[in-house]
Amino acid sequence: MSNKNLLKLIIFIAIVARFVALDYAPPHLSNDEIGAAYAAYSISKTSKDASGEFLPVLWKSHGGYGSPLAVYIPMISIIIMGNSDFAVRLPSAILGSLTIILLGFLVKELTKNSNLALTSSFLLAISPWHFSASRWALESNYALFFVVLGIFLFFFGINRNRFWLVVLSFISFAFSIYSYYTEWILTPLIILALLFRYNRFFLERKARSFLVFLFFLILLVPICLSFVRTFNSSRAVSELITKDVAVSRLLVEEKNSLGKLQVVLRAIFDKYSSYLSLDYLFFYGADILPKENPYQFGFFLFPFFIPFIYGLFRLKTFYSRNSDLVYLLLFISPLIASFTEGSLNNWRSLPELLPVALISGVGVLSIWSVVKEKLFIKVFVFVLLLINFFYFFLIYFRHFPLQKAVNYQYGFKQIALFINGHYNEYEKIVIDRRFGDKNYYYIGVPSSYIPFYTSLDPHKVQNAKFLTNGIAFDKYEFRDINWESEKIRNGYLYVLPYDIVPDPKYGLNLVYEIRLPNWQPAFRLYVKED
Amino acid sequence: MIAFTLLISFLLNVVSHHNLLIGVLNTFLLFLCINFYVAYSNNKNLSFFKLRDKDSYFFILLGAMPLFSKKNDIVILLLAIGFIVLILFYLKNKSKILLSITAIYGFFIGLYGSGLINFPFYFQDKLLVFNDNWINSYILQMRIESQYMPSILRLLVYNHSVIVYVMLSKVTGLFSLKNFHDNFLLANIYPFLSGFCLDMKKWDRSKNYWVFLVLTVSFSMVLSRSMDRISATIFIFLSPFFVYYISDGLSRISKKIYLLLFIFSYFLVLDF
Repeated sequence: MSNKNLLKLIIFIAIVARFVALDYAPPHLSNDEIGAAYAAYSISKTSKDASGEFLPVLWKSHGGYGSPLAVYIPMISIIIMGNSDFAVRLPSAILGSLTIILLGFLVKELTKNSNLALTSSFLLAISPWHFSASRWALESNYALFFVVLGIFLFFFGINRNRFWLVVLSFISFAFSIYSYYTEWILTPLIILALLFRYNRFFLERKARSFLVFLFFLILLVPICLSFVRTFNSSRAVSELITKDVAVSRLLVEEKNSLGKLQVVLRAIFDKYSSYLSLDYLFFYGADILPKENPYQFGFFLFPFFIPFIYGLFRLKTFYSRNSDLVYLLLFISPLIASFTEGSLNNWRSLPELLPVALISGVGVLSIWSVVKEKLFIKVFVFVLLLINFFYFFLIYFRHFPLQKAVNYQYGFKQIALFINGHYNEYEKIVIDRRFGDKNYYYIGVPSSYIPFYTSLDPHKVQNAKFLTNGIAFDKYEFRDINWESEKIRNGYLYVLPYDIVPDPKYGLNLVYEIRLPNWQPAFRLYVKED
Repeated sequence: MIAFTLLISFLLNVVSHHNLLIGVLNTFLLFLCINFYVAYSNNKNLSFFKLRDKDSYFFILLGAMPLFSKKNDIVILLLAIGFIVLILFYLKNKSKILLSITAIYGFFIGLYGSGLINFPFYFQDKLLVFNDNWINSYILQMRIESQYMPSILRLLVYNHSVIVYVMLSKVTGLFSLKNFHDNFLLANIYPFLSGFCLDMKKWDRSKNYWVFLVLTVSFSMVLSRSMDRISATIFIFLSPFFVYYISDGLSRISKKIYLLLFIFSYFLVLDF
């Protein structure tokens, strides 16, 4: 395949496939997406977020405080296109597509090898996890874009001796820090590595370099101040590995301070090992289907694990001095995620895509040059990749929405759409926050979904009343419904998980039922009629 | 120096689990692994008793690898010893029949190591990956969700061939940093990579047999669903290959970094 055709294919996969059916797969805005989307909507209308804070830097989300660009980037598309899934996810799809192109430019800048640049871009374009991440309103995806842009501008500026490009690279690095928590540590480490590597360039321009660093630090002042102010409920604090259930239990049992240190280091190391393991990177890390489903995908399609291993040893041939930077990226990219609690989180480890794509690209080219004459192997590899990508498409667009809809709190949007057409018919709308089924009820955030999709005046949410078991604003109450103690009234709409069925003695009639994409019932809406 | 390495390994066995038989078998296994390295690399600098140069002191640290001081299963140790002896015979004779016997033996010890065969010949078919209820039920679910496809195509797309993918995933998962650290110490990944890197540069056809043997043992082990047991035993069977690369890389690395890593690794391993 010629370079031109490969480029066309990359553009097709990168741009076309990432924008198709954005509001269908993933099947529903997730908990984090709706949090950011509602904050963006609220700020766009009132300059305040849901908690009433004026143009917040770190904004109050469901599980602590979210990073600024998670809100301010989708805000632009929400203002232009209105409150829709497509508008929320569009910026991520755009930045994800641009990351693919930028990665190619970066590789070209580092190696002067067009084939390698195209191969690396192609790898990222067909990466299941980058494909998925670009279809979510994912702040870690924004951060990845700014990291790649920052590194590219840095090398572009250094290689052409244009200092203003280096300044731009530092602005991009600052944006990455504003995008996601992982980059709070990762980006400074990358910057330090670049400064260490190109110290002569900066020493020769001492005064200007000093001003750039000062400018960079000034850019970070707002986020630092906001972090200090919200320190106790910040995610950077609440999600540390020491808060992990298993780790904290071991820490309590351990009396010795050296032993405590050992417990924490072991936990970090175990996690780091999992993030770097080949099965996570090439077999299940994308986490598209339920854990036990064998049809899983990794960050990259599985046939690339061999080029990755081979590329590790061939990196220097293509990247010469810059290979150290790639190795360093591989070493540090899962590090920050390893310091956090909970199970493996592919959002936090998204930066791993960058070094793995660069290394696998080298492996692919090296292997390709070895098997150049062997048509059978070339055909075999091509067919294997094609089959693998076919499976990925099938699973992503067909089975993923069917099997994972519940995890996305599927149904709250559909409730909002129903209410949109019947808002005036009800005196009060009581929505139970639970979703799932009687085996396990999760607590959702309908208090964000409903005002977002019904475009409710954000002032009403900002003036919400807190109930003992929920929250209320406008004519909505979001709380648990217990039929035994509920005072059922005429003109009230009750929304519950489908299996919490009211006794016929209450005289409630089913007015609407919401089903999951797999046709299982999710929610039922009842109203009392005389 | 080999004697010192073995002595350290034996003493650590005595200190950690007090079982002399396992201690002897572990130490013998290490001895065979070093023998494999010596036989294959033709390293003339190694001697049994003398400490010849600075590198020798670091070679002694190989005796501190947890794999050779753990309370390993005696049957597994005996099977592993048999495996290395066969490999050593093969290295001497280079006979294809011997290679086939070694591979078949490797396949069977893999089944023992994964618990699929209990001593002496009790086959635990319930542990087979093919009998995994989750996999079978998800294959069925995927078919049900693909009703839009013609039934032949559905059967072609979603079938038990996915088990090969699952097995490959498990094999790659076995060779993780954590498993490496649990068996050989994190510090030894440094010489291991150095040795492996060097080997990649001067790759010869004979190494393909190694790959073949490693894959045979690995795939026979992941036929089982019991991953915990597999990750604990696979490194015993494959220890000669790991020890080879670690030993090979040891003379080429920065000793200061290695020592620091060694101290850090032991800090992670020790119980306070």
